[in-house]
Amino acid sequence: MTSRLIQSARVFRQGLRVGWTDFWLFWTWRTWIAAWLLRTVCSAMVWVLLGRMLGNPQTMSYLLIGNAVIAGPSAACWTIAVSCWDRWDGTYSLQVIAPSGIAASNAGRSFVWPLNGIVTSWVVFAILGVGFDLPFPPRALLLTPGLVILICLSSYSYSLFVGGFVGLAPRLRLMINFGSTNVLMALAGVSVPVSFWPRWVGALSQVLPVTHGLQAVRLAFANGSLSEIAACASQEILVGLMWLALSIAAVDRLAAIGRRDGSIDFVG
Amino acid sequence: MGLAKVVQEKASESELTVNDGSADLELLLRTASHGAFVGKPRAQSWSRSRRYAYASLGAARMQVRTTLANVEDLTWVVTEPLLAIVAVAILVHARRPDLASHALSASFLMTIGQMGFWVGSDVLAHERHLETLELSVITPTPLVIVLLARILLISSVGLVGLVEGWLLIRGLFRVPLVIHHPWLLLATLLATMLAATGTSVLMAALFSLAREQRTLQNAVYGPLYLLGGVLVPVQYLPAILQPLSPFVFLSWSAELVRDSFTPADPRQVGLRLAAILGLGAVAFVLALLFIARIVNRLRQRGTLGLS
Amino acid sequence: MLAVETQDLGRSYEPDGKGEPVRALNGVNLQIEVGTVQGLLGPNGAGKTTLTKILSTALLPSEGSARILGHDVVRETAKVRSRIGVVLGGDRGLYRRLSARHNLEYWAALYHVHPEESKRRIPELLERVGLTEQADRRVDTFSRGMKQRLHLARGLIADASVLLLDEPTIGMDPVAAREFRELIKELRRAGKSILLTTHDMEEAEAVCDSVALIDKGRLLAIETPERLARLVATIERIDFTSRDDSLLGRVRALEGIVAVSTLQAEREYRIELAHEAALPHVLGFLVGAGVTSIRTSRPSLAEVYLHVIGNRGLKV
Repeated sequence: MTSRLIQSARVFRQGLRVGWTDFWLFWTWRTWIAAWLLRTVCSAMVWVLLGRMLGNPQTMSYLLIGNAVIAGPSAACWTIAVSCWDRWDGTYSLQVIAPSGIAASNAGRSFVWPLNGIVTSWVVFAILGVGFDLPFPPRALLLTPGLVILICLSSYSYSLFVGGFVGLAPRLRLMINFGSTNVLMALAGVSVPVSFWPRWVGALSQVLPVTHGLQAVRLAFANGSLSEIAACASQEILVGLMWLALSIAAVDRLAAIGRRDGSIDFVG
Repeated sequence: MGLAKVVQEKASESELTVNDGSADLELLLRTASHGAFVGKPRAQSWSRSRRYAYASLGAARMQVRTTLANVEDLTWVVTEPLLAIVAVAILVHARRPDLASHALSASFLMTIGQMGFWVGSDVLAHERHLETLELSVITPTPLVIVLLARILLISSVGLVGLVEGWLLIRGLFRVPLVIHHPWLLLATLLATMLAATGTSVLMAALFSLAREQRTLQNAVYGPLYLLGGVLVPVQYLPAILQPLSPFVFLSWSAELVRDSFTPADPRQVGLRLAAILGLGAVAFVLALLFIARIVNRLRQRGTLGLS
Repeated sequence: MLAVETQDLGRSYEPDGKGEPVRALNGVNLQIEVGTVQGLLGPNGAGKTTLTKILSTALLPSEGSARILGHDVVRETAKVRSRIGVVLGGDRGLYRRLSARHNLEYWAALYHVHPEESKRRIPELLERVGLTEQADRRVDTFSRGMKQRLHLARGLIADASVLLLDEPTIGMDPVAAREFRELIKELRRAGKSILLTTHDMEEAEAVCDSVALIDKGRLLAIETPERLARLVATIERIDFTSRDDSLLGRVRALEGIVAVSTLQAEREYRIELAHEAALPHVLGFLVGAGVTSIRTSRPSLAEVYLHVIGNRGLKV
């Protein structure tokens, strides 16, 4: 069992190296700031300004915190689109037939995206927080960075699961990628409280990433108790682990489907 | 029968027009003498504008087929209007459903924007990738005509964003959206579509032949929507950004769309529509200059194609 | 009036915008008569595609001039474009998500082919290239050979007077390639002027009125295939098969023999003669020695190619 974990970690690291190279071939620090970060800040600002337009400082703060946090999962959800890249590179089939299997290498290759999301969210928090005079209580200052990491990782797990299925219909990858982000924006308490929605929608929100972690962030900003914050954070961890387990279970099933229906090609 | 008579009969059969005289007539005689006559296509006798119009229709038809076959291009038609749900939820939660037209303007403008600025501006880069750009440049139809027709078609798909947004807002939230000035709305939609086309052709020219096309695309549309006031009127922008908004056609479009849903009579409609069209025209003229320059430069450097 | 005429045509590139310029074409003088097929043979990187691109107006020359039917490719671009059809090699250059028919309809519109003419011509072209049954299938489901055939149909859609075919049979199977040669002959009979770049010696010999050899941007020779063959040997050779090992020595001792070499096939040999007069004498000797498999041959274009351009292995 231990040696298997070590092997998987090795494969994960190699996959991360591929993903890291992909990322920095596409972006430089200059273009990351001038394009990626600029776009993210502008998108978040649109929603914060909606709060300003409504003339309610609490609404504005609510939207600011929500959109600064969701900037992280928005990046992490790119894992969904990236999950098709191995098929196009022609490496998916080679990974399927390799002794290590595909799960660890696939996860490794896309891990750069939650990392991107973490840094993005931190920076957006800083820029918008200062720009709109958001008060940062000590509890929020201390706990928010760690909670953002948690939220991005649970979003990443969710994206791995969804991304596995998107491999069956690669042309829908962008639609599902952005659609997933928009669903989280609507339902995970980013823009309106979860209680705004009908009960069945609220129930769905409980198993989505971001919902509990974002609630923990809001409690930190509201000087909520550490036990409440920890409870929300724990729920976020559970949700993340749930999606991770589902994604690991799905990846082998999907490879088996591919072997049966011949959709695993040696060329991209 | 004599050769001259063969030539005469064949020429009148296919309405042949010999333009320059010598080279074509020699060809004509040679082909007639071989007994396998092939005349020029009759459209060569059309006026230039008619030929270009015909080619534009062909290009537009091709784009319809390509877009329908390429579901990725329709991503924005599905995802952007979903943001209307987010916007209206915020407004309803804040007890301001009367501002739902803001959500609708955002849905429409962001959909048409993404179709134009993302899909439309990708046309040239996609042509390079397929190695059809070289073949397109060497046809008798100027490249800019082909681009204009294709991107106009793509931008027009963005009009669906208005319909979708309206259906989502009415269907999910039962918020009333009454069009008080339908002709104003129609004129705004058309003007916006044209301006989006002109701007997207400029983007296609500037970005698609650059190495960092995707990063440039990413850089542009976020600020455009912010400065364009697609959801929130520009007077709520930080003061330092407000002077930039009038140069973004989206800001004029957003206001006019929202005014269409407001009972009060809109002011300076003509001027505002002219602003939209004018900004689109300026973008298109710049695009013409850039495309000609870029194609010429690429022919100079020999990197037009990938073969 | 010539179909194609180049005068001291040259083209230089600066690799990555720095360093010494590379001369892709150097002082190329080529003339193609109306209604003829001109072959262009050369190794990879010789300048064939560069020449095709200049003539098609996709690329500007660095020096010299080129004319298509009397129209300058730089100053009269529009006139040239309406008179040429271009076929590129490879499997790119098609809209993969569209069907074969829709691809042709699009190009027909860009070439201002009249709608009625399009309706008649497209099915004819698809039939001619053997794609009628695949006409409504998406191009991304096509094999490479099918794509190449569609390329050909695309290049013929405007019924242009001058055709520039840049390695058009890459990816075609032998049957399709043979059909292609028949099509070239038909086009020549119809009065088309054709520039055909190819690696296929058999193809060049079969369809070209004249063949130009090009290497490192320079034209080395322009002749009919038969005259080019004389660059290697002016006299016919004798190829024979024999299992008699002692025969070779006796053949070498005959008068009028330049060389005897072994061919690739087992027990096959080639005799190079010094003069025509030796031919009957050597043939008689072989027949007398019991050799029954004898034939005479002229050098093939492949041998000319190797003789003139050199055998550089896999080096580009």
